[in-house]
Amino acid sequence: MKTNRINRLREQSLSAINALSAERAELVTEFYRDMIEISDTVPLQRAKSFYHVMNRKTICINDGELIVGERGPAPKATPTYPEICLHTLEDLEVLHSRQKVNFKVSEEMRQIYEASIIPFWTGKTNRDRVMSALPNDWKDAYSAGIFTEFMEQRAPGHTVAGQKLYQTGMNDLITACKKKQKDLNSASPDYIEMYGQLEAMKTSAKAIVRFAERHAIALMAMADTELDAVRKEELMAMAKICQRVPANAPQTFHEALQHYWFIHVGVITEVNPWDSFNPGRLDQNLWPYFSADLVQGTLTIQQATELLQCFWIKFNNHPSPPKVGITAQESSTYTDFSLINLGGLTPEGNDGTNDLTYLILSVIKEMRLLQPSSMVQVSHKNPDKLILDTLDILKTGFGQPSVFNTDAIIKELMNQGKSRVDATNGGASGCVEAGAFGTEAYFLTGYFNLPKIVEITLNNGFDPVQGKMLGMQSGDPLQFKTMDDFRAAFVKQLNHFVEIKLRGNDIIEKVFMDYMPTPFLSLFIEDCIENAKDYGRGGARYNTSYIQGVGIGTVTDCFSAIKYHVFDKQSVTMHKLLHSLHENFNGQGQLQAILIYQTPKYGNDLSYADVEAKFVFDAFFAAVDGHITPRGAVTHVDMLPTTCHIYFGKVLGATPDGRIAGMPVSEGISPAQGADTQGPSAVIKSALSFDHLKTGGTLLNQKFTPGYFSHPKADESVKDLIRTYFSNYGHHIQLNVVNADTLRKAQKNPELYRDLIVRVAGYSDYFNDLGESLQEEIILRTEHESI
Amino acid sequence: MHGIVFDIKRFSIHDGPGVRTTVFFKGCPLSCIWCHNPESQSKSPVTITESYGVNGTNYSMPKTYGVLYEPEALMKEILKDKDLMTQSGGGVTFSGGEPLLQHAFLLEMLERCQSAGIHTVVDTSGFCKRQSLMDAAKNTDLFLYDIKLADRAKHIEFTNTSNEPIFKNLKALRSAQKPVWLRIPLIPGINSSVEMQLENIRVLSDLDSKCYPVFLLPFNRAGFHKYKNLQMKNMLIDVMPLSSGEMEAICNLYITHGFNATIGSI
Repeated sequence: MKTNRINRLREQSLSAINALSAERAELVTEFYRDMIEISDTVPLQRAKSFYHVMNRKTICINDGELIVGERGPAPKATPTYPEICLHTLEDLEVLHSRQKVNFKVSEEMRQIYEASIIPFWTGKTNRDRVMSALPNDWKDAYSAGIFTEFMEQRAPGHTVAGQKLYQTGMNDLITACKKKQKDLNSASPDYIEMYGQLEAMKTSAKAIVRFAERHAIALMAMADTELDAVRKEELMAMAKICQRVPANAPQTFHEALQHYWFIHVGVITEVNPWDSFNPGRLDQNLWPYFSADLVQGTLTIQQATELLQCFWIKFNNHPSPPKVGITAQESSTYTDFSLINLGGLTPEGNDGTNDLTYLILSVIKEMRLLQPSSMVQVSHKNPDKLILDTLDILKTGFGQPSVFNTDAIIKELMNQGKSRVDATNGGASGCVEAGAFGTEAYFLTGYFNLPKIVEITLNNGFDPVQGKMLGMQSGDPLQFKTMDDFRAAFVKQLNHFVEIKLRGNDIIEKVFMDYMPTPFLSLFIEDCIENAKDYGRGGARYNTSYIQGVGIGTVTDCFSAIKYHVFDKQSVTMHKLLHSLHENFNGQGQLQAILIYQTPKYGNDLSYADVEAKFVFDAFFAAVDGHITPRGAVTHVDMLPTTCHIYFGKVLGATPDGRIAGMPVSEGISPAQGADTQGPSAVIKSALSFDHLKTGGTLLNQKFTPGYFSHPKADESVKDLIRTYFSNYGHHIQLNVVNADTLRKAQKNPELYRDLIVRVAGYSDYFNDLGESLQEEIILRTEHESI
Repeated sequence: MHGIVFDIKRFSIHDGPGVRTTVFFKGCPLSCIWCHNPESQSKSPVTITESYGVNGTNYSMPKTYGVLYEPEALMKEILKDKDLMTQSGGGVTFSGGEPLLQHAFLLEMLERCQSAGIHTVVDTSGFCKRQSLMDAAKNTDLFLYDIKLADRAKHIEFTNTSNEPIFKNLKALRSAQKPVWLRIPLIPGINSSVEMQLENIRVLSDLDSKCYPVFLLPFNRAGFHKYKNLQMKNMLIDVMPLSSGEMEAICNLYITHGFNATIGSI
């Protein structure tokens, strides 16, 4: 049950308007214009700028809340980061008025930007440095939509708190920095740099303590004038907590939540990291405080629930920082991907679920907020209850929590060279990305458009959408004699563009290393202090970079269509195929229907198609994996899309799988929209056609209708599906319970929804296989069932 | 040796315990007027023209119902979900059509499945040779046994076959002490009346079938659109399913007579 307080705060969060705030931009500009000391190292300049913001920004304490700290002056008032990416007045207008994911921009903010922010930062931002360093072939490929770039408008992040963050106060960290400074060898050529880095980290630690102190002062002042005796006491208790944490390690459940939250706000204020920050294994990390408080009688379950609910609202108050251009298209969402991990294993490798796991699941179910994102880690050692309780939430149509395979994550991380303990303490962040929590800096660098490589291969290096020679000459497809000829040409183009992307990654990373260190974040990721090295410069124990492959379903279907129709059956000539692609299937509907309906496709457990998925994955893996970046990180692959499959489809012409120009490509490792017709057990088999353990994460979406779950065996069957997928080392599955709106779309475009299974009357069937009147009946029923 | 299969449905939760792969054999001695798989009735493959929608335009392409399978090839399809079957306590269900109509092929498949450690279910109308049924029983873990109408004349009228062998075979399975689940479709206006169901109850009681769980299957209109493509006449096109209240009343009838009855199939 939600208390009145929670209902109010939740309502405030839901109704708060996403708006931009100029406050941070003004403070940072003020610092760099008037206060900067040129003799300071870059990290110390960054730390002092951070201190200035935390010392001066508005303190916002919302009515009734128990956890305090807002990044902006009000809920959902979102700062900008002009030193990283400067928005023009036109950008501000776009952000203000676009239909999706908009941020209101006041007239006052526009004036501030025009008068001081834009004049000061033009030509001096990190983005300017990045862009001037990148070669033309990178820019051409980027504009054509071959790949995207995560660090063009945002700083690297994607890092998660480990248990140690909760066990350490800022005073402890400052002491550790001081000790390290003393131990440094002054004869080392890196001495000045290392010393300066530690100095910057100390300053950053003091900045967050200052921020907490300011809250304590504000809370005391509020307590003084508060008439309600209960709230007065709360405010005084909260003030006391803000005096203790994060300066000192938390000792209670409430302190632990507040401690993390201050650090979270710090991380997302220092820069605009992608993704925000993440409290990690929440049920594990909070368990010591939760259980001790319960035993001592200082905390009740009701109080713990309310505190967690307050904590949830804080996340929801913090939309992802504003994104424009291609960055906005690849991640068109307010979500800032703070992915709460539950379940999994203890550091010793035992079942990690506890009472708090299930309490947090109930909080997720009741709060139904976009943020934070949530997931459960499922190992073969975890009980079925973990999955079944999760299904209880999912079948209400709420797309969370997603379900992850702990056993796969541990193997993936160990394959990358992590120790068993560090791997076991890991999980997933962002969408699906595996990481060693508290010890790894893993940067996602951008999405890679695999289907676009098919298009460029079929045009011998030419991009028909841009009307421009983009790739290399890999051979005239009309001269291809066998499928192997096509495959070889594809690999040539793939390697060519991956090479361009990797070179760009190195350049961008170096710019961030030199100009955009994050001394505050470095405090929390081991072993940055021990190495006296920034998080962004390779200071973490593990350093990893990723390129995320998109469209494996679509690209597999393209391969299969060419193999089946052109080379094996020889029912369609390459010339005819290329011509109809060029014409976007205009007047070629029959051929398009054959390509859609009569091609063996990915998602149906057909080895004819699935061997091509493996071929493409292995080629992508071979091109990317193992590249060492300037900071010493090793590059790996991920297979996930966020919303990039929409953007990648927009820049892609018609494809041999029957998809017309501009339509989305497949998302994650899911089959192309509607391509799978053999049910979810066939989907997971296709998804397992390549080795997930070579990746840092894969994303599989599986649709069900709400009605499916009315069958008494439905929950068990889905649980068994998950167990089966995971025992074969599938990485992740997201269950998507579809609503009537989707069914309407399926009725209109059946070719895109061939995978849609609906419950009919005591049994299930494919929606497409039903007569129109029955479809109508089910739509009406689904509308009725949906909440 | 080969069999003719008109569909294979994976991830089925309606045809026996756990999660199952259901193999639909083509050919059926019955032609129930409510049949929602009319394409399954004839034994040989049929090719009909179906329309496929692309961007709002329909394109006609031939579609063949009925694929010839060697036992080896069909095993390969069944084994695809072996892990899931093991995990869920599921297995394979041979349905139809009437699987016992292709009894030699069925026996071969049952034997292969059992030696591969796969739980086997046979979903039968019961209209088959006694010996075929008893041979199949050796390698069948569970029968889903469909009972339509106890009334002899009505059975002939609506299914084109006598129900005599059906009840005799059920008795034989009882003597052989084989696990059976009874499945009774409730067709409005055909067997949905209290009198009709009391007649079912009486005959089933006489056959000492109270030990079998009874699943009352709601009438469903799925598959009715296929009649047109097959140029078959659908007599029940305007019939609507029973209300849940009516279903429950019939269910209670069975329960008060000592049956373990539920609505819907598992």
